[in-house]
Amino acid sequence: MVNVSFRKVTKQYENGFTAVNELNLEIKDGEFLVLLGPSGCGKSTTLRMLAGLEDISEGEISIGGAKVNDLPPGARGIGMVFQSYALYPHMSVEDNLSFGLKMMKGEERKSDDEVSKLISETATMLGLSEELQKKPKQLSGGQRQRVALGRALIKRPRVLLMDEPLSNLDAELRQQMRVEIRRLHDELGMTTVYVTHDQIEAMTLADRIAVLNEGELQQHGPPMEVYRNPTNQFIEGFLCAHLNEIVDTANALFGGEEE
Amino acid sequence: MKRGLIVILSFILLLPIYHASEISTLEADGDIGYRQVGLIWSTDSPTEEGTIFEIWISNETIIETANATKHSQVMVGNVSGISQPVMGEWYDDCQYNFGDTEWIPVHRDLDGTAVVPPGTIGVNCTLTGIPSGTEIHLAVLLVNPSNESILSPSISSSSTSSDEEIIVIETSPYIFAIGSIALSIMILLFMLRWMDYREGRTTSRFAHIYIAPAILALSVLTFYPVLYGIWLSFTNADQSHLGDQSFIGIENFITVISTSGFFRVTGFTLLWSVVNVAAHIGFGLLLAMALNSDDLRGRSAYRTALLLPWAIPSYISVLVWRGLYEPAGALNDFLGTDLNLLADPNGARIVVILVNIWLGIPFMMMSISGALQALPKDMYEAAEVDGINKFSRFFYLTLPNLKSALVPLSLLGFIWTFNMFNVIYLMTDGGPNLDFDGPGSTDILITYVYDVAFRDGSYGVAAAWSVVIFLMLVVFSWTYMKKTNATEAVT
Amino acid sequence: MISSKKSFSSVLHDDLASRWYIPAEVESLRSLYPIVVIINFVSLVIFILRDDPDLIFSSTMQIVVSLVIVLLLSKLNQGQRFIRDGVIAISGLSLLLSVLQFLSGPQIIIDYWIMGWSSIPALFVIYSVSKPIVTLWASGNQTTRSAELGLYRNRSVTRFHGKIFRHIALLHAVAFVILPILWILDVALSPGNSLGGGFFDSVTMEHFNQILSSESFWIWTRNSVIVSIGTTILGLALAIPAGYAFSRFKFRGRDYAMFSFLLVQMFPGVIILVPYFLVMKALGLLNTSVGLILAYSVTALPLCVWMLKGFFDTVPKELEEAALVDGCNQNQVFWRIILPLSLPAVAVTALFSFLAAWNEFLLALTFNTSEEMYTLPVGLASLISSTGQAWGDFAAASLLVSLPVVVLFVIFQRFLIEGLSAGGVKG
Repeated sequence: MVNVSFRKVTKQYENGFTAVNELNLEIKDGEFLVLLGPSGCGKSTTLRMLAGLEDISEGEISIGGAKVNDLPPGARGIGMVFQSYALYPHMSVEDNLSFGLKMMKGEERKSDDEVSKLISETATMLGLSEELQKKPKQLSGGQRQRVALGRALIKRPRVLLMDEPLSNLDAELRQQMRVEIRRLHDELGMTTVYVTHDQIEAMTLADRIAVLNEGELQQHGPPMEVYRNPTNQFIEGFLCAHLNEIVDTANALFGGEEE
Repeated sequence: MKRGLIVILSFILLLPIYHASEISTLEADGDIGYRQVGLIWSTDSPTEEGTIFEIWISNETIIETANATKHSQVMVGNVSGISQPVMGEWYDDCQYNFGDTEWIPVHRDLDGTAVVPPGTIGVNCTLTGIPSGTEIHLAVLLVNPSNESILSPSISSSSTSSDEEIIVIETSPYIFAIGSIALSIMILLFMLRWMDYREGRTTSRFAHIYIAPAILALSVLTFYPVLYGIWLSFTNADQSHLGDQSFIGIENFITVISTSGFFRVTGFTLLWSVVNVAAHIGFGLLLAMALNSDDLRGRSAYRTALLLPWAIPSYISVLVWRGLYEPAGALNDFLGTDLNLLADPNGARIVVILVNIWLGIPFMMMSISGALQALPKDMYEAAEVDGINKFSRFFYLTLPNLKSALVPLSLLGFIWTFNMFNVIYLMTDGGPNLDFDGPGSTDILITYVYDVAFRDGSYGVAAAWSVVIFLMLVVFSWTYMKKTNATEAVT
Repeated sequence: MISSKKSFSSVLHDDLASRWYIPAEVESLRSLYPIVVIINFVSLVIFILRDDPDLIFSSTMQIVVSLVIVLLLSKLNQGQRFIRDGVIAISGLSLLLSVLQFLSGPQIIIDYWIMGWSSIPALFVIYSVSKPIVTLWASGNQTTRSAELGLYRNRSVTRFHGKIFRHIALLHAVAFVILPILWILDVALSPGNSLGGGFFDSVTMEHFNQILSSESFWIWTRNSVIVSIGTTILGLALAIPAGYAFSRFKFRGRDYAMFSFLLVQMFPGVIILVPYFLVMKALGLLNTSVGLILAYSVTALPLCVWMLKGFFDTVPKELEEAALVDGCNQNQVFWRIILPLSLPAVAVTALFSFLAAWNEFLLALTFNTSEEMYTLPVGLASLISSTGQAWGDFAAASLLVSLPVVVLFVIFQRFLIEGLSAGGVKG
């Protein structure tokens, strides 16, 4: 069971700013959870605390029942996709994928055969088999995104973290990748935490969404449930009104033509 | 007790028969060369072993040595077993005689001090390093073995800027060359401008006029001297053949290659450059990494302090370091040692390299600091999630990504260090062991070229050296760039 | 297609903390001790230079002991109580050795430093390895709770140690930089021409008075000022229009011209020195300020042009176009819009060529050989030459000459460095 739980997690910066305030959240094994909220609401900070890239001021985060508050990121069994991809610019796609594997020590260490098998498996899964020898600079935005995803997945993490992974792509690619990310999740079945400010992304991808504002968790639940029963003004405005507007616009455009 | 008595007794016994020599004649001759003065003196009786002639020099008449500085000295002593360089091998040539007209070259002890045998009557020295064109006063102080010293009368002379007077260089060929270069550049620019005008490029109406002064200056004061230098390397130009030098083929280059110590000085120059650049980059990287932290208290104070070796004029730093390394300097006080590193060839080599390392670190530190800040931060976060430890992050991420900055920096540093004149010239002037007819033990190529050109006056040979140095640098840079590009293609 | 859905990391049991906990103190010691060994080698070299057999022996012993500590630290792991006790015992030995060594030495400044480097790390080992949490770890009795606590402590301990290491490294570098400067201050303030002796034990202003009242110092300063200002003005007059043209215009021959500027930057000065001298000699420009001004402004020209081009590139083109639309001609645009906007950049370039001329030694030494035409660099060097060792006067003069330059450099450091990297390194 790889469930993730936040218990009264608070992040306060040295200058006194509270980015996340007493967050309580349980993520079930194999669940696809989307953290949704406007920019500056603390959703990225939450993810980075889970990854171990930010210190936790108070509270407790556990993965699979074990407290991970002070474990180094590499020890938590997570994979992470960054908004900017954060690929290693001087390495080929192959090395980008396998760098983490090759640097493992002790009993986790993989043999060369295992590593190359994993590389080809991951590359096939993401359609990167042709690009293995290229450098990130030579790839398109969508391909870089796949490499970043592959790098997170190749270690078969217990939890996959994604920080606005699609925000640098154009609309069409975004749509395509969305489908693919969901497919990968269903195929590999790992617990996934996905951060975005895009309501449509959240509605289409999530098993469950958790809406944050100003460091506070507003509401969480399956997407349609949150959409139908918003518990407060903020969610009403940020989620429901926004989506309704899109539906209205679409109706006006396409419905109008049909008439 | 007994020994002391004997010494005193023998002193008393010797006193009556002991006659101290005195300077009886003293002549100076200013017309012997550029920044050189000849000085001839003789004593009234054969000199004793242990006598010292000190040559003092001043801007005013020398009445006592307090207002003068010592130029050099000649010692009377046992000459057996010490070298006797032939005339022309030493900067300060000296000869002696026994009262007749046969002049014999002096001997030189390990420090390079002139030594003449007891019984010497006359000494004839060429003093170098005299400021030219000004009147100077000379006197010889004779120090007897009994430590009694007698100052000769003062004599005045001047190192006529003789070569400038004797050899009148024809100015017109230079003026002609410069004029024609300037003219052809002007014509070229005018033609280019006319062609642009014909094609109707409106933005460039003034472009050629704007760049004309800079291009002219560059052609006349850089490209022309470079070409002229290359031509000089094929001629017999020297102090006495200037203006009427003639083409002698590759003879100068043969002289260069066959110089005793050619490979030694080239080897030391390479060692000097490689060690320096490696240390600059190593320490620069270390300090840049130490400074590269936002929450470091006193960061800007540290940075400012560490920039000082770059901010202080380099000639001053070098001379200060030289003082530190002097036997009486602070280094010995500080380490509790009793060293004279500058007098030992290997010690001096280490010292000059250390000083140049001190000078060059700040530049590399700042350049690498800039490159470090340009590295993507998220790459390190991704590596943390990948479980890469600090050392692997440095070796597998930081270093490879700094490579694109380090390759040109190291090449630039190499070229600069290769041609770093000030440090060697001011620290050791190529010493401590000056080989005659060859480079000294700490000479690098450029300081040796300076000696060839401006101490020996062999302009043609010096130009040939310059061309050889330039070719070495071109070959090195080319292979370096090729090698580093090749490795980049592989990885 | 996918071989295993199972996460590799799920082999890990719940007790992640105990598995991952290594005390930060041990990690720090592992990186610190190799440096201690290196420093011990440095002290050995100093003792060899001192030729003191006792100290050489004790310092060799110290190296052996430190190497043993390095070895033991690398073997130290969970449940290795025995090794931990060994580390503490050996460190005690190292401490004892360093105190004995210090007491038998001459106890001058450097001995304090050497003792510091051999005793403080040993104390640090004894203190940190005997901490309860490390003891618990080393004896293999830790619980998940204690490991979690340890991981929590590790964060602040690592950060603290990192800071201390940085400060130690930087302080050493600063000491290496400052020592010669302090020393020259001491020489300038000491009476006579003594180079050694105690720091600041007798203070006198005689050398400053002597230098300030010496005629030649003022002559050299005058020459340097004339040459540097002349170079700055001529250099800018040549470089500004060229930099502007390269930045803004496309014209025939532009690429060749730019390449020629780059090429000159690559030329080592040596190839020009001899012909330069001969041309200057033929033109009668030796021992004049004009000769040096010409030479300096041309040697600094390529870098100045590249720096200015870089700065002009950052002035938006739209401003210029707007002015052109408003009816200014190209010259007016340059004088009224571009130049005032890039004045700071021009000032930096000016400062750069001024400093280059102020500090140049080789050409000044070669061209201006008569004492009335010396610039400060050659003049100051002549104070320390075969004909004189006026260290006190030299020290006073150096301080006077460097101070304004250093102050300018420090104030404008950021701009100078930016300018250099815009002009030189990036090319």
